Amino acid sequence: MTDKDKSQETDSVHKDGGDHSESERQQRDHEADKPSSGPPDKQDSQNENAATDSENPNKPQTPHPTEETNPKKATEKPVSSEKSPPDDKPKRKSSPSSKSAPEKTEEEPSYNQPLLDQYLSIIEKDLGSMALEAAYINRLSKHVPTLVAHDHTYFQVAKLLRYHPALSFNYLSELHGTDLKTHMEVYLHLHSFEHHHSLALKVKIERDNPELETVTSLWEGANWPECEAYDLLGIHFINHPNLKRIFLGEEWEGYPLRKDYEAYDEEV
Amino acid sequence: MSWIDQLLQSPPGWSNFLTFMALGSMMLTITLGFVTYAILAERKIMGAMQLRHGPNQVGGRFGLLQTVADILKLLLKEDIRPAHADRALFIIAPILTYVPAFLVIAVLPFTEAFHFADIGIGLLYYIAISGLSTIGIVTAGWASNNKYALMGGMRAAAQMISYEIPLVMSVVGIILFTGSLNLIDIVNAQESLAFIFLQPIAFLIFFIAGTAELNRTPFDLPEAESELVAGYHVEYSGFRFAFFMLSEYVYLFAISALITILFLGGWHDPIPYLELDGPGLGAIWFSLKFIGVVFLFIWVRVSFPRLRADQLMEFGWKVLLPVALANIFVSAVIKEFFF
Amino acid sequence: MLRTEEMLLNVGPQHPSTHGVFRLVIKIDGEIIKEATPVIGYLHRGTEKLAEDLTYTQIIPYTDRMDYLAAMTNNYVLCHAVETMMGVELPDYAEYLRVLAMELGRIASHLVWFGTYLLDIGAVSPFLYAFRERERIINLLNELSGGRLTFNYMRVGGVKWDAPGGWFDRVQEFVPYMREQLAGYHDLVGGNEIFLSRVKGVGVYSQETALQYSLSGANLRCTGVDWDLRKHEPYSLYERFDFKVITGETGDAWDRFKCRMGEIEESLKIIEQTFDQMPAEGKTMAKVPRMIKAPPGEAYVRIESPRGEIGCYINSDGKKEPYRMKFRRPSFYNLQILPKLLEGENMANLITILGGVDIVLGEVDG
Repeated sequence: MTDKDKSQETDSVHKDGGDHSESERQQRDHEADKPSSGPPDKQDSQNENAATDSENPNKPQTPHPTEETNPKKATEKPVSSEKSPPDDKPKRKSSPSSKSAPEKTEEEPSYNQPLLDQYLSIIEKDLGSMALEAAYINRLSKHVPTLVAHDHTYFQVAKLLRYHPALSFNYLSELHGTDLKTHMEVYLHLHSFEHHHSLALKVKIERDNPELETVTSLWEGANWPECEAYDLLGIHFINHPNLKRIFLGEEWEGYPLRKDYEAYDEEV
Repeated sequence: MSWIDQLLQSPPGWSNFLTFMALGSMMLTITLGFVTYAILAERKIMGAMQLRHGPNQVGGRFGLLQTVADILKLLLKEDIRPAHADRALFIIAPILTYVPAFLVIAVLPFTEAFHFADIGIGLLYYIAISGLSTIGIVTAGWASNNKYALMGGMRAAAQMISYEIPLVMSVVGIILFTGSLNLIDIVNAQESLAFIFLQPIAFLIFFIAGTAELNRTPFDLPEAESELVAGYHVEYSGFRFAFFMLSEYVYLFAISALITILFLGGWHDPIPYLELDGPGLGAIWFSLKFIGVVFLFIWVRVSFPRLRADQLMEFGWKVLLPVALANIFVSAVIKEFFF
Repeated sequence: MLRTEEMLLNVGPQHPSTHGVFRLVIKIDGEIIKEATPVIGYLHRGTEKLAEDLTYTQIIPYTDRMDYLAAMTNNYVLCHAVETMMGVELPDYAEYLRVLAMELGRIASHLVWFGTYLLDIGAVSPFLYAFRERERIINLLNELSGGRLTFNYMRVGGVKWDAPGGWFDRVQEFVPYMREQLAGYHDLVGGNEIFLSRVKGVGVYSQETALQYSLSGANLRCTGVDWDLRKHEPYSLYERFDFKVITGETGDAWDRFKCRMGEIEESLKIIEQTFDQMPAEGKTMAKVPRMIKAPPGEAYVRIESPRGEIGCYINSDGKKEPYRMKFRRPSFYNLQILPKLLEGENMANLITILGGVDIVLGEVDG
C-alpha cells in the first residue's frame, strides 16, 4: 500500500521543498541589506568559485551552493537554481500550487526574527558591526537564528554568546565541520538554558590551512567534537588542550570527510 | 571413633600407609562428588531463579554429568603459562590454594561415627589452615605477571585478613558456652538447643564473614568479573584453573559443614525432644541442614550486587568486628548469669 | 608514608564492563585512579562519509547501527531532519506508530542499561529479568518492522509498514505487565542496601559541569536540569502527551538510575495515551516524492533519544544524497566527562561511573 502511495505521489514532487528554498531566498534578500553583512570582496570571489564549479554538472560532487551559508549570495538567485537542474522541474510544476508560503514569509518574518535582532544588537554593541559576516533565520532548520562569524572574530563572538547575561548560551549542543570545497565551515549549535533559546553559529575558514581558535575554554563539551573535526576534516583548533585524531589514530593519512579524500582501498 | 584412634597409634608400615591412602582417597572422592553436584546445584538453582533452565543436556534431563564433562574438559585443555610469569610460583599457587581446602575437611565431624581426626583444637585448626589458602591466591596473583591478577590477589589478601578476625570472634561465644574447641564437643553441647538460637548474632557474623572467606557474591571482589576480568586466576587455564575452582567449592563444602556443626547442631535432630537421634538418622539430619546452608549461600549469590573494596573494609572493621566483640561480652554475661 | 608507585592499566578494548570496544588507559596508585584517558575509535565505521554517497532512504539502515540499542530514535532523527527540510506533514497515524515504536525502543534501551548496569555492579539476576521484558519489546518491534535490533522502519514521510493485526492489543497487554515488573525491580534493586551504597554519592557532578560538558539525557537530568526535548522542543506528537520529565537532585549515579527507571514509567504512560488518541487506521506515508531530495540548504534537528540528545545535521545541495551529514551522537558527548569523573575514584567506582553514563560504542564511534 505504501509503495502505491508513493508512486502516486511522485508528481507532486518537492512542493514544499521548492517553496521553502524560494521563500528562503527571498527572506535572505530581505536580510542581506541588513548592516551585519561582511566584506563583499571575499564573498564575491567565493561566489565566482562556486559558479565555475557549477558549470560542470557532471562533476561527482558539485560544491554546495553557498547561498545557504552566505546570505549575500542570495542576490544571485539564478546561479543557484541553475546549479541544481533536477530541482527545477518539480519546482516549476509545483509553483502554481504553492499558495501561502511566499506570502507568509514576506508578510510576517520568522517568529524568531525579534530574537535575532536582539542578538545582533547586543553583538554590535559589544564587538562592533564588523564582527559578523552575516546573520539570518534558517527556516529549513526550524527557524533557528544563524550567525556567521569571521574566523578572526569567531572566538570573541562565541565568548560573548557564552557569557553575556542576555545571551548566555551555556550549552553546546553540536560542533562539527564541513568541507565546502571552496572553504571549510564550522557549525555550532548552541542552547541557552537560562533563556531557552537556540542559536547556530557558523564560521568559514580557508581550506588550505584550516585553523580556528578552540572554544573548549568556553564549553568543555567542545573538546571531543573538535578532535573529531580535526580527525576527519583536518581543521586545526588552536590552543586545544589535547587535539588528537580521536577515531582514526595518529598514523592515518588524509582526512576522510574532505571531499577530495581518496579511500586507500578502492574496493571499499 | 576408636578404630581411627587405633589406626593413628599403630606403628607405621605399608599396610597402614595404604589404609590412609584409601581413606584419604575416599574422602577426596566424596568431596569431589559433592563439588560436582554443588556446582550443578548452584547452576540449577541460579537457573531457576533467573528464568533459565541450567544444564540440561549432558547426563540426562537434569544435566547430571555436566560438571563431570566440564572438569574433564578442563583437565584435557592445554596448559598455558604466560611467558613472563614466575614459573615456580605459577605452578605452586593452585596447589597452595587447594591443599588447605582439603586439609580442613579432616577435622569436620559429619556424624557421631563418621569423622576423621578428632583433635582437641578442631575449630582453631580449621580457621588456621583455611587462612593458608590466601597465600596461594596472593601467589597466583603475583606470579601471573598480570595487573588484574595482582589487584585480585591484593584484594583477596586484604579481604581475608579483615574477615578472618570477625569470623574468629564470632565463634568465641560458642567456645564460651561449650568450653571446648573440639567440634564434636560443640555438636554434643547442642543436643537440646542449637547455637543459632543462643547466638543468632554470631551466626549472622559468621555467615557474612564466611561468605567473604569464600569470595562469593557480594564479597567476590578478588575475582570481580566486571572490574578485574577474572581477578587472581585470570591467567590460569586448564587443570590449574580447575584447582582454583575446586578449592572454592571445597571451601563452600567445608564452611557449610562448619556452620552446620557450629550453629545448627550437627547430626542432632532439628526439633529437640523428638528423640529422632537413631543410628543413621544423624547423617540425614546433617545432610538436610547442610544442604540448607549451601542453598542459602547460593541464594545470596543470586540476589546481591557486589560491595566495593573500601566499603568491604569498612564493613569488616567498623561493623562486623565491634558487633562480634560486643557479642562476646554479652555471651559472657549470659553465660555467667544463666548457665 | 610508604612510597607507592603508579601502575598503568589498560581497561579494554576487551573488558567485560566497557560495553563494547572501548579502551580506558588508567594510571592507578593501588586502587585509586590518578588519571584516565579514554581511547575510542575501534568501532568507527565512517557513517557520515558513507552517507555522502547514499540516498536518504539508504542511509536509514546505517543509522540503525549507531545506537543499536535504540535504533528507532536514530531512524527518526534522520527522517525528521529530512522532513523538516522538505516541510513534509506526516499523517497522524504514521506519527503515532512512530511514537509507539520510539517509546517501546526507549523502554528496551533502558532495560538493557538497567540489566547491564546491575551486572557491572555484580548482581547477575536483574540482567536476566530485564532481558525477559526486553525480549517482549524486541518481539513486538520485530513484528512491526521485521528486525530485532536494526529496524529500518521509518521512512522520510512516514513508516514502512502498518502494524500487523493484533499488534496494538499486544502492546496494550505489555503495558500493565511492564508496570508490574518495574515494581519488582524496585523491590529487588531499588531497596537493596548494597546497591544503594554502591551508587549513592558516586560520580557526582553539578548542573554547571553537566552543561559545560554538553551532557544530555538522564546524565543531564540527574543534576536537576528540567530538560527533555520531547517536552521543551516538541517534535512529532509529543505535545499531545502528558508526561513528566524525571529529574534528580544531586547528580550522582543513584539519581541517574532513578531518572532512567522513571523514564520507563513515563514511556509507558505515553504508550497508553497513544492508544486513547490514535485513529483506528490511517495512512502510513505522507505524500512524498519517490526520490527524496532535501532542498538546498542546511538543517540541524535534535530529538531525545534514550541516551540523550541525538541530532542530525544535513547540508544538502538539492541532490538525492546529502552533501554533508553529521550526527550528534549523545554517547560521544556524554563520554567526555569520564576522565574528570574518574579522577581520584577507585577501580570499583570506575565501573559504576562508566556504566552510569550509559554509552553505546556504536554511537560513540559513529
